[in-house]
Amino acid sequence: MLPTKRDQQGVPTTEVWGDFPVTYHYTVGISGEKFFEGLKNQKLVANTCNSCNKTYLPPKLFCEDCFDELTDDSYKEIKASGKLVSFTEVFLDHRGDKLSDPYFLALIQLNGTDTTFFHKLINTNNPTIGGNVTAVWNDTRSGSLFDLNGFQAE
Amino acid sequence: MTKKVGLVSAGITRFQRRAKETGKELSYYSAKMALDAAGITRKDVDGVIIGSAPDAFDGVHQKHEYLTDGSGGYNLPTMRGYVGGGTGVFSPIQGWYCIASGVHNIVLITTEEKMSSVLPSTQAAFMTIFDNLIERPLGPNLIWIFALEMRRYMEAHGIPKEHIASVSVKNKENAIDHPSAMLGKKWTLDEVLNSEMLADPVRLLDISPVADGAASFVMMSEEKIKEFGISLDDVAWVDGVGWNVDTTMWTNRDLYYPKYLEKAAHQAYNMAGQKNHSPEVLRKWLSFAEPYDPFNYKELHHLEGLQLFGKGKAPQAAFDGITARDGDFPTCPSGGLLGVGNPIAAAAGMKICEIYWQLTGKAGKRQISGDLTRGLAQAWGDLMQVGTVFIARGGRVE
Amino acid sequence: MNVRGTRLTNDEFHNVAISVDHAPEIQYKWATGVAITKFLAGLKEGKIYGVHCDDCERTVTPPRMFCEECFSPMNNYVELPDTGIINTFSVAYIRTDAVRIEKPQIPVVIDIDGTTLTPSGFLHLLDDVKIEDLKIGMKIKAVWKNPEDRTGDITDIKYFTGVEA
Repeated sequence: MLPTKRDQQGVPTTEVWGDFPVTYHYTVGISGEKFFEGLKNQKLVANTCNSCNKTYLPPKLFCEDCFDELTDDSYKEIKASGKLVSFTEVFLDHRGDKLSDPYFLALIQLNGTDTTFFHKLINTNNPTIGGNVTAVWNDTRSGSLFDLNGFQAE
Repeated sequence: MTKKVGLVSAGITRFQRRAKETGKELSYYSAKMALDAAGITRKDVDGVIIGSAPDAFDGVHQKHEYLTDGSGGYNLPTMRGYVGGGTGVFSPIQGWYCIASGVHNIVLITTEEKMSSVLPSTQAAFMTIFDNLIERPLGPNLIWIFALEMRRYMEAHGIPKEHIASVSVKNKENAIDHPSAMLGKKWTLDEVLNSEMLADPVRLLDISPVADGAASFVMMSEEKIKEFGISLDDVAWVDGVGWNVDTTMWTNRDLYYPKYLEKAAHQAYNMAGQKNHSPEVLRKWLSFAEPYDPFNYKELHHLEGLQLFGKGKAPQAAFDGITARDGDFPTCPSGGLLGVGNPIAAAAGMKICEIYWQLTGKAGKRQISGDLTRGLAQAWGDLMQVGTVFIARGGRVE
Repeated sequence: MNVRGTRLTNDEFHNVAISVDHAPEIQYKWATGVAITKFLAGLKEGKIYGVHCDDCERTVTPPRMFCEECFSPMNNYVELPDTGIINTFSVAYIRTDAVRIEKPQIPVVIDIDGTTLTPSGFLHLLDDVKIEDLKIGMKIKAVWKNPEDRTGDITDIKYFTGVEA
């Protein structure tokens, strides 16, 4: 396969098409392993910097503020409920095509954390900022972000 | 009037083909190591520089944004400079001008690359560096252009392959003593010369391995060095910096000699107050160098561009052992990219670490014997036309 | 010195470590611009165009809209011969996707005849040559696709090959 190809019409010398022929395989890293392993077991795993008294979800290997390393004993399961901080309703897919089923994306502050968490908001037509939401788990879980179906109003 | 700027510490991760850590986690390891070694915390830092090569390797667009927290940039003035493979030596140049200008006093610099993320191979990402209109349709890969340049260089001076291969032997052996190294090993000249042919004249052991890793350093103004009570034995002053870029039309210039690097080198020597740029004088003035060695011939090509050897003279010198760690003019005492590994920006960052450790007597088993006055690190990048040069001198050297 | 970082084997990297995969679904459509459009249109007609800088008094190829040396605009296009000499070449056993190949590709940088001041040219491939005969400075010529098969692409030249002495 050649890495570029001509426009299908054959003639033009004014445009060249090319793709980006790569795929990526991202390891989730040291703190990521704790987080995704937790999801697989229907747990939300966060961690806390004791110096700054700051709790991260997803957890981090280090505190971005005081730059201390957050060691194994910093990780803990948190209750999978929190408050809706903001949301948007998505009408187009990433190609710009109209979705038959628009959905909500949300920023959620889980109780006991100092960060906001990005996921879907489900089973709602009328989200309320500041309202309580709780996690809805997927019955089949593999250690992926979609082990969570999303969050819904409590 | 620019302020006097010193390197006060360095940090590095292990270099490896596949790291479990994310890019920001690797950055954290090296940044934290550098801060700890300097005896300071992130709260003391007032500027952060991130150096990383094409986003297409890590597979995270705007990688600097992604790497910010691991590099210590949270809520601080933070920026990324990018000149391809030349980045790792350009980052400390940025650190230097941030402090020399008086904008910052303490700068934390982190160079990072995580190349294992890209599949099927890094070549797929490298291909997109070529001209999109008249080169990519030919299906190029990056090894081609090294092979083309290496042949031109060999032809211009009648260089035997044995002389070039000796650089691989030297650097991979030097890397045995580097704790981060991937490929520290004693190879024979014959093994290098007979390794797998990739693109004639380039064989497998002529090339440095792609890698994951990070390297960091801390720079301070002279006032802060005094204020923190840092011993001059632990300081390497920035002496000279230079950078330059040749035409982007790489098929329009003679590849046998890196003219852009000569210009960058003149800039750095002049800034350091060294007006005589003859090889003999420069080799006495500098104690050692870390020229950029992604391929073995590049170390030699760069030594000539740096004016450290006359045109066509570096290969014989390397073959004769002059550039060995115990030779008259050691080059790549770290083990270089050929031996330690080549996580692009971090690999050149590793060279800055080595300059610092050598000049402050912290290079362990790699320590060059004798009094070292000055060291030079250099990197090369973009599509073969960027040269970046960084010279430091010992804390007590006037 | 305690350097850190967790080494994964190939198997651990692909099968053990938790990971996320992503294939970017993007394509690019690049405008070929002023000078390269002229160049590609020339190729379709079986011609190699260069451009003359009236200030530097040099002729270069591939054409460009401005002289990167003196920064003057350039629009004095000139037809160059489809011959040149080997500036440098490689015999490559690694394809663009890093797969090993039996029959090597021979990338070449050609100094196109008729370029002036310093020779200039472009990257292409050599074929129909004896590898052992190849050397820098050898005279070569373009082998073109049939006119009806040309699309205005660098590959309208199938390859370069040796010129009989």
